[in-house]
Amino acid sequence: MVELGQIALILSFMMATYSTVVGFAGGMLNGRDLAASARWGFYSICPLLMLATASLIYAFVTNDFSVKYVAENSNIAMPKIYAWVAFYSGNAGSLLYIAVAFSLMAGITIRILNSKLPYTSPYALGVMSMVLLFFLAVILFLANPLDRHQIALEDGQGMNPLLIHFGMFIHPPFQMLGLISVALPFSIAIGALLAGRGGRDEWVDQGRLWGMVSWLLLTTGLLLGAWWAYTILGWGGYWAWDPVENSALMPWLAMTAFVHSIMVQKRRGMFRMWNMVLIIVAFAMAQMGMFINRGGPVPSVHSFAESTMGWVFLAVMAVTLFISLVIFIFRFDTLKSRSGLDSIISRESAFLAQNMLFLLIAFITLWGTIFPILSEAVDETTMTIGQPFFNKVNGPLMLLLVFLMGIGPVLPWRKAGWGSINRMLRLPLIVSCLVFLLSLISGIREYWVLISFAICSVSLVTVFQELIRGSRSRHSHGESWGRAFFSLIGANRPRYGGYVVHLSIIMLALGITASSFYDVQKDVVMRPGDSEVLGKYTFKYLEVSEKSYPDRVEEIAKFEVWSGNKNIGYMYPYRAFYPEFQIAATKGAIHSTILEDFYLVPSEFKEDGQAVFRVLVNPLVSWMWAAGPVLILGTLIALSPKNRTQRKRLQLPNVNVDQNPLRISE
Amino acid sequence: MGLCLNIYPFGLLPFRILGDNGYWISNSGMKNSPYQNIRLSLINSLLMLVLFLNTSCIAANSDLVSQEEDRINKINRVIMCPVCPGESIDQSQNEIASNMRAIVKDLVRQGKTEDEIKDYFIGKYGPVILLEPSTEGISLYVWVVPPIALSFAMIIVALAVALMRKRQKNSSLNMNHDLADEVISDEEKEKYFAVINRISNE
Repeated sequence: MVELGQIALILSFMMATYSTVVGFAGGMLNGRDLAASARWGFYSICPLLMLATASLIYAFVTNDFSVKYVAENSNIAMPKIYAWVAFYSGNAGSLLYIAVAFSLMAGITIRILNSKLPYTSPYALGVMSMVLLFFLAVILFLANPLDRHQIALEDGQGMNPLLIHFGMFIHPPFQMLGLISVALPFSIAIGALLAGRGGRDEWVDQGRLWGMVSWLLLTTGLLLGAWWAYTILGWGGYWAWDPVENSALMPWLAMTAFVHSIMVQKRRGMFRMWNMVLIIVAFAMAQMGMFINRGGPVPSVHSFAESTMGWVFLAVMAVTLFISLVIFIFRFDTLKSRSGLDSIISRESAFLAQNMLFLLIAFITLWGTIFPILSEAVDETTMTIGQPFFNKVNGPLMLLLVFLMGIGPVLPWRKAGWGSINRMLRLPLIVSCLVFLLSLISGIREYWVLISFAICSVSLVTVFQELIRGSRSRHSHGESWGRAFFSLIGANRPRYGGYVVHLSIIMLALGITASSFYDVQKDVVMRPGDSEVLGKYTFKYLEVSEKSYPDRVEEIAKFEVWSGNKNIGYMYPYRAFYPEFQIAATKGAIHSTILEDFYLVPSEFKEDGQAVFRVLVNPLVSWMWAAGPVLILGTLIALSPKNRTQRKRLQLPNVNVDQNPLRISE
Repeated sequence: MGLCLNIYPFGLLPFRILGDNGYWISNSGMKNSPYQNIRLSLINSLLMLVLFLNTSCIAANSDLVSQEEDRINKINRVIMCPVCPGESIDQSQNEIASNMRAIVKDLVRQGKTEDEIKDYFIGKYGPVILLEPSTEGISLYVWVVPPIALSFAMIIVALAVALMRKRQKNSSLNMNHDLADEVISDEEKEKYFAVINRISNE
């Protein structure tokens, strides 16, 4: 079975080579047949890679420990369902996962691109095949998950127990998919540049579409990762500015800038050059992320897929940047903007400022992440740059972004007169002042929290103001309120979908602010029967029980918890010990309400019956998790195409040629 | 949420302050229009929301844990666990981290200041042990570069804006020139509109 996979891998490598060469040739010679051949060649890669994947998963399911990768990442005790997680839990397997997922997504992209952008599509196909070719080359020559051992082992080493969690079925796939999907808009942009049509804005719609798909995947991956950290890593936090987290955040920042500034090109024909720069930077950041993740030199909690091949990724990043730059300069003349800036106070300049801020945050994040390497190289000083640095530097900049998010969308294109600024921003600013004062009165003294609440309320009010303003004007034309609201959203989906996404960002910002400034944490030592109090929560440690599994021993604590006088039932935080790995994983028990989470996690069970627990009250964390679905909904609204009936309504009535009024008028 | 209005003292506040459209309320007869009520209850809900948040934060903040405990947590968060790279001892589940937490607790109880405790760990493990880089020596650059980058970014934005403004001024001059050549005569316009009217009547 594994051999079949090997053959499929080799075949797919050959097909990728073919479609790279033929794709570019088809573009340059303007040969339709060549392009079609390259395309069909590319389509064939996905099933081949799926076959390879199937053979690897089959090896996991059948415990074929003669396969090196299987032996390293699973064992007999592992539940069979985790074969899927084990598939991408190591370096080689995750590369195969990326390759198969990318071949599928790129195939779909190419299929759509072919009819929409006939000139760009062969070049874009060439770039995509090249990206895929690189991954396949790495898999075949450096890290092949299907390679066999000389001797068959009795049992494997098993999967890292931290990965045995429900979130692992979705967080890594989304995250890796997100990182590699940056290559899609990148390929389209470079393809358009090569085709010499970058300046003609042809690629903008498709670039935006795939940019947003990629953005959605990246965001989902990040949120799922935060959720995983919160529920399984058992320290009550969700983001630690760990190097690998940073490396996933950086492309996200660049992509966020891109999906915004591409709108300026779509609407106004401006920022042509800038969008190219952004998407190239985003792709470079994604490659940087892979470099840091795959045995980059920075220590991280995420070193699951560690290997020495990080440097290959760094080298390829350098090459990509260089080639992109050459193409960029070569096609510089096609990138001039259609129009300039009418006024400094306009939506265009708000977009520009926002873009710059995103890139700045990305740069600072990169700087903090790689500084330890630099300092070691230059000065032989080893150091760690952690949470405090990033919070201090990036926190304020992110708040500034939330503020821009509030005022940017209500500034008109081209030129904002003081009248319209006054009309649009008066209410939000008044409300935000009120919020500031009320927060102050009610006793909040942390000035960052005050500022954050005030800024969030600006953004919140502008969004609602826009929604109400729009539905009101439709309502006044006779539509019922509900109908007016939905037809408003339906009429300009990019805009109102964007507002929904903005709402979710406000929810995130509130959650992050509240939980990072007002979380309460306490370590308590308890014996069974003891009761403790934290805030309004009273919790009684009833007993501890032990449960044995083939791969682990769980010590499960049982708590009875009261919130005020109300009994909220039993909570079962546990600590699992994996003897083969000598690793303990804790699982917190969380009682979540709309306002705060009550979080219990065992730190240590001592011999004498005493146990150490960490208890936390984290305000507004549930808002962050609720923001996820809202964000996805908003993005889907923004992406959804106009439906047929609407499109028809915009068209002129059909006229027969004979009755063609233009002809009659002659 | 509208029902809660009466309970909340602040809920009534914006009724008096803000009217429709964000303008100060006037007796323009629009007071009873349906959307006004929606707008007002919206603002009310918003304010209540904020107050809820505030109370929740404060409830959480009001000395639930002793100041000593607060200090211990704060110190734990800036000291790295030596065997689990990138994680603070506050975060890590490792045994070494929990031992180090115990040391921090002891030192705080002995009345040591934060700096003294940090120095203690630096003496044992070197400056790597701190998660926040110091402001001396080479690590000064970590702190210096972000503000420089910020000013750099602002300069770039300013330059870009100036450049695009200039281009627009030039091009709008040219455009006026081009348009002057292509002015449509009234006669042609009439013909055009006649055709459009006919289509829309059909």
